[in-house]
Amino acid sequence: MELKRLIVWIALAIYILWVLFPIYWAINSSLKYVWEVNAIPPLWWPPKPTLKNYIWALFSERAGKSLLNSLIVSTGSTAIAVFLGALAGYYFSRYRMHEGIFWWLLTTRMFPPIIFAIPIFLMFKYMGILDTHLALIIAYVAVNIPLAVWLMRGYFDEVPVEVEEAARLDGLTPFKVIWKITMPIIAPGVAATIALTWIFAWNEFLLAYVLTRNVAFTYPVVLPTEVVSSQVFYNRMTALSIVALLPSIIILLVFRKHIVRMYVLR
Amino acid sequence: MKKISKSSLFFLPAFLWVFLFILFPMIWSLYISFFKYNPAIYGPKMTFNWGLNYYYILTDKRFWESMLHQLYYTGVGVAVEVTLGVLVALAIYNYIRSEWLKMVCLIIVTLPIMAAPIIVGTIWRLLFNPGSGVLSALSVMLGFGAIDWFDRAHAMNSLIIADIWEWTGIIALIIYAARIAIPARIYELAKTDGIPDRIVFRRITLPLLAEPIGMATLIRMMDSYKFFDLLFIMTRGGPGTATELPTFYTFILAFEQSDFGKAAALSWILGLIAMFIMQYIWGYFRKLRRFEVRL
Repeated sequence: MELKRLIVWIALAIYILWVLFPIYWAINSSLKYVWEVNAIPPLWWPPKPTLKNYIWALFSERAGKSLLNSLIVSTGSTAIAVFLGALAGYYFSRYRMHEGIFWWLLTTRMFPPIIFAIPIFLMFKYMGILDTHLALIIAYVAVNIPLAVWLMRGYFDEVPVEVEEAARLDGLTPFKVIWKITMPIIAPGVAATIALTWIFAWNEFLLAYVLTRNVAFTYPVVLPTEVVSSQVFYNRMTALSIVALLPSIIILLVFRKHIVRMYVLR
Repeated sequence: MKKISKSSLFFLPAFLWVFLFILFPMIWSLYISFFKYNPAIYGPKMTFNWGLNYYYILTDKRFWESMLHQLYYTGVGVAVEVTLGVLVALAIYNYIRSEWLKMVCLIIVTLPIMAAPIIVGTIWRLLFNPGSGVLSALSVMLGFGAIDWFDRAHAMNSLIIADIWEWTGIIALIIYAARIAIPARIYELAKTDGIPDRIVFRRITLPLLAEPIGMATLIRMMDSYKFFDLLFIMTRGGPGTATELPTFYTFILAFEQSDFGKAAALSWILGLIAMFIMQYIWGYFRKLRRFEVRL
């Protein structure tokens, strides 16, 4: 019995190592100079650790701006998507009508994004708003509304209708009931919805790649381009990756209870 | 009537937004798919071509090869992820006593799924890098000689390995949540009856986990159908078209060959396949709402 336990522990430890090693390697590479990153055989730790790559990631013309763009686009789109998603989620939770529309909203999330990336690209081209923050925000809101509706509906379902009815009998208007009574009850759920919607916009690549070029590019668009005359700047790429990974890690630590709900709708 | 219109104010904005920027573009792309439309070569002129785009796609060897790649990629990748994910979840649940350590393990296991796929692709491309990559160095150290992880024979498997690294965590998380939901009393009864562990596992744990495992598998399968970012940064479909998946072929058609008519036709074929599969998962998917996770 003890032997079996030992074997399972070792296997689990190997699995944990396998998960952590690539992240260690990214940190390791981000502290190296470019000739050290491309050394053969690989160097298992940085000989002369440097923060140069992080300075590049945070303050350079391209990478620094891309992080700022990512921040603008994900925050803007999250604000709109969660607001509209909360309204719709409330409707589907309380009125229980148009269930078909609810499920249809969810289906849009199951299609490969390239299917609407192409027509959205053509449409925005005609509208002349390619390569603007507005274009990305509009697209991300559309993609993230189903997620926000799904999550918010789940949280509203947990609040009994009786609570709201009691408040309404006291003479509050429907909007006041939501704002003053229901919202405070599900505040943690709202926070989780905001965080998870935000991280999706933050991590999105395809639409950003298709809809932006020289102005509104986000960090996922910059990552594959750090190649100068067959020299791949993995040290910079990993530094930018680590910086961009930090919000994900923080959100994981704070909202770990809500994560499964989100990923069923990825 | 008045009551309906007032309450629909709640969901109309969200609905309209999705309609305008997802559904309408998709319908528009159905329209485009019946035209010869290649702005880079023929200018903005669209010529109706009687559905020839669909004929081209369905007789295109490259398309069918990409479908085969998708089958291989989804089949192998999801099979490994589900097996590994279930084992990891049950190992954490059964073999770690301290609640605190359980949570640390789960957070580490979940870490990769929170990272942007494009970041995961960057890191794995570096790990697989011929020569200076860690895995090349390891294969030399272990005496296999220098393996080129991105050549014709290995590229697809390299992608699958990166995919397994990223997504095993979500399976583990779902199964862990489902395992918590099984009442401990069942196991106590089994223990007082003196039923051996192996039979408890086969007759109690597995049947009760069958449904969540099925759902986790379906979620991963749908998700692997959307696979794009990792492929883009790691191999770009190469070498040649050895790792090209249908979504990536659509992307090439639209944004590299500028053949929007054909790309629209292909994206509708992919969309119809997705709808067809969704018909089957519908019932399953509705049950997902029951899940509450306590970590």
